[in-house]
Amino acid sequence: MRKISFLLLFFIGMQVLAQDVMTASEVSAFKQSVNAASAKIKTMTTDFIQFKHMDFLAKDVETSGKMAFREPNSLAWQYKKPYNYSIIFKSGKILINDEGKKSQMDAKSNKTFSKINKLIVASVSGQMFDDKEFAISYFKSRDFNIARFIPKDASLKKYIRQVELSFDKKEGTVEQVRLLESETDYTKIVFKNKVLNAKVDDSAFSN
Amino acid sequence: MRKLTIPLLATSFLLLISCASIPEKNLAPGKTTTVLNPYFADPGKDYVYRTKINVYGNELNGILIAKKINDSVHRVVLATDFGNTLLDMEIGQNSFRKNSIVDDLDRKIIVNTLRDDFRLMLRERFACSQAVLAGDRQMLYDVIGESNPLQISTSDSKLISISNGNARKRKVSIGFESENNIFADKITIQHYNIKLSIEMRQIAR
Repeated sequence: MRKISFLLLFFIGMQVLAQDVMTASEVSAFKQSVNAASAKIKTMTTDFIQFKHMDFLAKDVETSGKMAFREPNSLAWQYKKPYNYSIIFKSGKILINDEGKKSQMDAKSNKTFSKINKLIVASVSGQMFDDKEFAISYFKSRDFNIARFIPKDASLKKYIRQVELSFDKKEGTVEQVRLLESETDYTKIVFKNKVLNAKVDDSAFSN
Repeated sequence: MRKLTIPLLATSFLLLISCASIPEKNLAPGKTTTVLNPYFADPGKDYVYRTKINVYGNELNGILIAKKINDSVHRVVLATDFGNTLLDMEIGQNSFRKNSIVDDLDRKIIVNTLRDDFRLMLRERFACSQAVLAGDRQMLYDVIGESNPLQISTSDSKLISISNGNARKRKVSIGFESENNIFADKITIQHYNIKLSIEMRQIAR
């Protein structure tokens, strides 16, 4: 038991070590680099892998697919494995294709989806720092600059305890999103094969 | 007259055969047997299903995760496709705990219905009497020791359904499709007294 708690302490210690709090000047430099990077983003396509981690599971639940974003707020989120499901946010509409079954709804009528949309768009485009709905703190690890968002709104807090965005240090773009639901449980989304500012056709935002 | 009687008799006999169960394979009266549900029984395994809940014309999609966490309890989590947990509960045949639930789903009728459905789906042992042969390979059993009628059926000794209520007035049926008798590839929960059905397809092994 002692050994275990020692190990735990060790790892917690490592974590703290691995994520240093940024100084005020680092924070402003980081924000500037992200804002500069996101100002340049007109379109983005990327593959993603989503891991749902819950402590009681033997393995994370893994799903993956493609994401496309086009200014100002068109977003296509498409799961391809292990099932086909896509959700597209476009000019106030939400289009869903669930394994061939298509449906459509008004974005205003679905608060949760709207919040998800806002969150994803803000995450990929790095526009979250001015968001008044979150308390934000900043960290750095070896590989990433990390911004941690804690919802102020109690109803949002019930869904999301904390959002953590990890940014590439050079590019200033989001590499990972981690949504924490409890001390131990989270969903992590890792972006891969990111392509910035290539032409993205309308067909990417229709189902 | 006689000419007419013979074909009539023959027809009724045929009808009788097609309706009647064949008695020889039935359990002897008074004998009981235990049928096992293997589909959620391995504590080392996460059972992960893409799930569609259809309730009064509304569809709720997501991922259902079930795992046996001790001898008598399964933890069941329903999450959105994006990974947010909607519902997290621990279900035993005689116990229940709600770990977390989103406000939209937190109504007694929803929680109790899902609890009862999943409890039935996860149940591992059924003590049965009165088996009848329902088809070439199918057996139909009455489960004993229940306050309400409960029936299960098997095909080639594989559990294929659990049904609540009696044959005339079904309340809930749970159908299992399994290739290997270790896990269920597909599960369908159908309610007959309310407009609710749940379809589940296994997505991770």
